[in-house]
Amino acid sequence: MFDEHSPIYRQIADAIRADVLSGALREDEQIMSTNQYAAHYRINPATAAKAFQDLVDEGVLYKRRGLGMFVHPRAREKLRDQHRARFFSDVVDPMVTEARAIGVSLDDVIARVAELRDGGEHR
Amino acid sequence: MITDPIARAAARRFIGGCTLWALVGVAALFLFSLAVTTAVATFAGPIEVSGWGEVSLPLKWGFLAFGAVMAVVTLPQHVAHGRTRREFAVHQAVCVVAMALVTGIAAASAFALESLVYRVMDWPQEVSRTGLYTEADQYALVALEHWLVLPTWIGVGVFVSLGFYRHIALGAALIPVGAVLVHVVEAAVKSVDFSAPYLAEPLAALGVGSGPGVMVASCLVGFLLAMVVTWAVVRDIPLRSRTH
Amino acid sequence: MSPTISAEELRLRYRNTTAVDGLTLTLDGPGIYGLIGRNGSGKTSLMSVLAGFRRASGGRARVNGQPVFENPRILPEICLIRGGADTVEHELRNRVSDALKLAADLRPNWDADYADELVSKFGIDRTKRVVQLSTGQRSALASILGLASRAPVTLLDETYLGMDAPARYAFYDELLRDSMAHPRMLIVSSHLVDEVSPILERVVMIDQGRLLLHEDAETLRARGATVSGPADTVADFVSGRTVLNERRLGRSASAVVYGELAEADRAHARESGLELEPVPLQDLFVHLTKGENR
Repeated sequence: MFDEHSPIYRQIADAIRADVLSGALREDEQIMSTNQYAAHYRINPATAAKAFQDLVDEGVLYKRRGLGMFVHPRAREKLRDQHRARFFSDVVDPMVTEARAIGVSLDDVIARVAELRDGGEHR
Repeated sequence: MITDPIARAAARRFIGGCTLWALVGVAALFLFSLAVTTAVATFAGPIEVSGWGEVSLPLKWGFLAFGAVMAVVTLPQHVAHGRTRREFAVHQAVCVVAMALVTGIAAASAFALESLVYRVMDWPQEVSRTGLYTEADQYALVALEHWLVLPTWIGVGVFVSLGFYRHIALGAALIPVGAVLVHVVEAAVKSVDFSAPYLAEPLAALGVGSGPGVMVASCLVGFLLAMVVTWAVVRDIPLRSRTH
Repeated sequence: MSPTISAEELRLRYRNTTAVDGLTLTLDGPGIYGLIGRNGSGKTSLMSVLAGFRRASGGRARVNGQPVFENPRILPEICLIRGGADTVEHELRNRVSDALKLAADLRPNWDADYADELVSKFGIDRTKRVVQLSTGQRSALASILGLASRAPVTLLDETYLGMDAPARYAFYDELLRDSMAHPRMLIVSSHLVDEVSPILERVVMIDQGRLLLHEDAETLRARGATVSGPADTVADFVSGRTVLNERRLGRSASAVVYGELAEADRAHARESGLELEPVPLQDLFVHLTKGENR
């Protein structure tokens, strides 16, 4: 259910973020309660609550007293901005490092990216 | 009397349950004595004594064993479910008295019931014993003697078994204590002049005479001592676990 | 009402061993608490004193500020279930239904419907005698007695013994579900830390009768980290920190460090090409209680 490489609450937060980014969770949509999360993932509700708190702090979720947690209207936008900001350091840089390590020339990489871009434009 | 509903339930389970089992035990022993009597009459020869009178000693040993089992089963169950040892100690004292009371009546009734059978079969309902009652139809005395000796017999069973539950050495050490107490009450009711013979002299020295009062007092003291020993064993008894 | 348990300088001595050795601890409020310790670390002894099964040899055990031992106002609020066959040892001659009836009579908050639900969930035959049940079923029955008692302070001492994996997970699920539906203090002792740790809110670790740590489970998970990467870089990073365990494989190494890592430390580690992973509680437990083998 969870990998051992990062804390459970972070994995839950990541899963919710991913759902918001993909649009599976829409703006102002209510998300499951900590207790439902806890029962579903067989974790302590405090752990789920910690994930929610992190997301509230980030502005991805907001709390309606007595009702539960909802997706913030600007959550998707905010997450996209964040991911865009981190895209080069998180995705491109490691790719370049990997390419160098295994001897794939960067020109080939660039060519491939161009190919994908053109293919994508044709579609 | 008891206001807390849980304490009442605990008392009802414990005292009611044991009293009921005591009656069942007496009834079973009575049927057994009748069966043996019938078997003897059929295969061996004429009946000369009351079968029920013959099982009076096994009856007391039975109750000692009953007290032993009931204590060692009930105490851990009740303590494990959040009851106190003190409550157990009080309940078991009442339980012992209640069992003795109903058994006294049941034992007298058994003689009455037996007399019907013996009359039909034309057997003599003799009891050959020393003690409070010397005839099978002295029903009041039959009941009284059970009321006097049984509380101590059962109480001894209780504290010896709990002694063993606590520690094998304690249990072993308590056996002679129990033997003395049983001996005192038995001697008290058996002595012809209604007093324990070896108590008579020290008592006389204290200016206390012998007689029914001393007999009853000896039996009361026997029972009270049994309860005191029980409390001493139980007051901080640990519930055993696998390793300790 | 939120229950509080406290032990002050608590001691329990047996004839020739000291099982609880001057332990001080306060637990406050509802939730699932894990009491973690090796075999013989004093888990059962501590729980026995906290539940009034034994009198402490020294110090004080209190629940809601009141002394526990022989306290008729407090004892009905506490339910201790001891593991394996031990739990229902007093019930061996009874039938399952008798054991349930006894608990129903003596437990003030007993929920008979819930008990019935659990009995069918764990597939226990109520007409059987307790002695005829398998160890696993007996443990399940014991767990049922503990859960359905709904006692404000419920102590479950390795009640999973002999249960197979599906039964254990069913038990964890129930524990979690019921603790959310009826918040109360549930203290679970275990040495199967891996299995039980995700459902714990707080962790109490004891060793040799002493308190090792008492911590929020999440905080504790953040407390340690496994650092791995090139041996030299790892060595640089861990110098000056509490290292619980170090392994080398060729030129790479991994080390378990104990103690809070600041965000800057984490960033620094990532930049120098080190991988940081959380330490499962199980590993933390193993490292912290390693000592001499007993």
